[in-house]
Amino acid sequence: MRDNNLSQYPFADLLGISIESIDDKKIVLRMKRNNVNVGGVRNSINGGILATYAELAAHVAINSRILAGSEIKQTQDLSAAYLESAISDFIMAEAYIQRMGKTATVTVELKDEAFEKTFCICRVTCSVGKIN
Amino acid sequence: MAEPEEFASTLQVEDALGILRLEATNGMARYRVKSLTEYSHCRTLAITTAVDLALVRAASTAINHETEEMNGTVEYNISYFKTPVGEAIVTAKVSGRGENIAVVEVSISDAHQTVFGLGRGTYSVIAKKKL
Repeated sequence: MRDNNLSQYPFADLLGISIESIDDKKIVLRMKRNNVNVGGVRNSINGGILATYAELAAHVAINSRILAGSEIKQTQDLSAAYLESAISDFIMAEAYIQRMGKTATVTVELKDEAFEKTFCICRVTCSVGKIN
Repeated sequence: MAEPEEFASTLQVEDALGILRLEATNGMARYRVKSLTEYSHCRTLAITTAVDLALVRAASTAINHETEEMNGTVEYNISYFKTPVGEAIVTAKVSGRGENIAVVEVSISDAHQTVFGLGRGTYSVIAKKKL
């Protein structure tokens, strides 16, 4: 099942998040710096927002590969390690699926628009099951 | 307590995601997060942000603002072991302080005080530069 729009995800529009690309290896999202998502130290993107952005990217990645009749039940684990302040105009999220099954695991790297600087590395695990 | 100008900029994040700060003092911070029951699988998105906000706010109440300054979250993790129903209460408490770091434990509960998530994070603190 492909997921080519973000209308089913809360806050995507508010946070300035859009889909950049989806392929078999990874999905890439783009978040534009705006009045809502800033609020970290040194006028950077808020750290909690970055983690939420990574969580959303993980859900999009899983939904791009999930089998028909199945759905994400919920996020089970999330970890975020912050490497640098996210101060670029656009934050790119590269989400790689590491495992699909009843538990799906995605690693997400948040980078600047040139993909040269990594701001944050996250890992998100979600439970997956049949649609009720 | 943190200097007001250090945190005024998170109000727009809180307003947009339905997060309300309830209290912050003596190494502890508590936030309420509006429920996302209309979404089938993304109910934790706002809670994820609130955990970091609470972690940072708790850390801010545990530093000496005359000699130290806040330097950013180093890392944090959250585990959700039950499905959240209704609004969430995020409570962060500083459990340890080193020279450069504050360790914060976080619990996430619902309106009935049932804990459905736990987390932990570390926050970087640096010495203020002498003029």
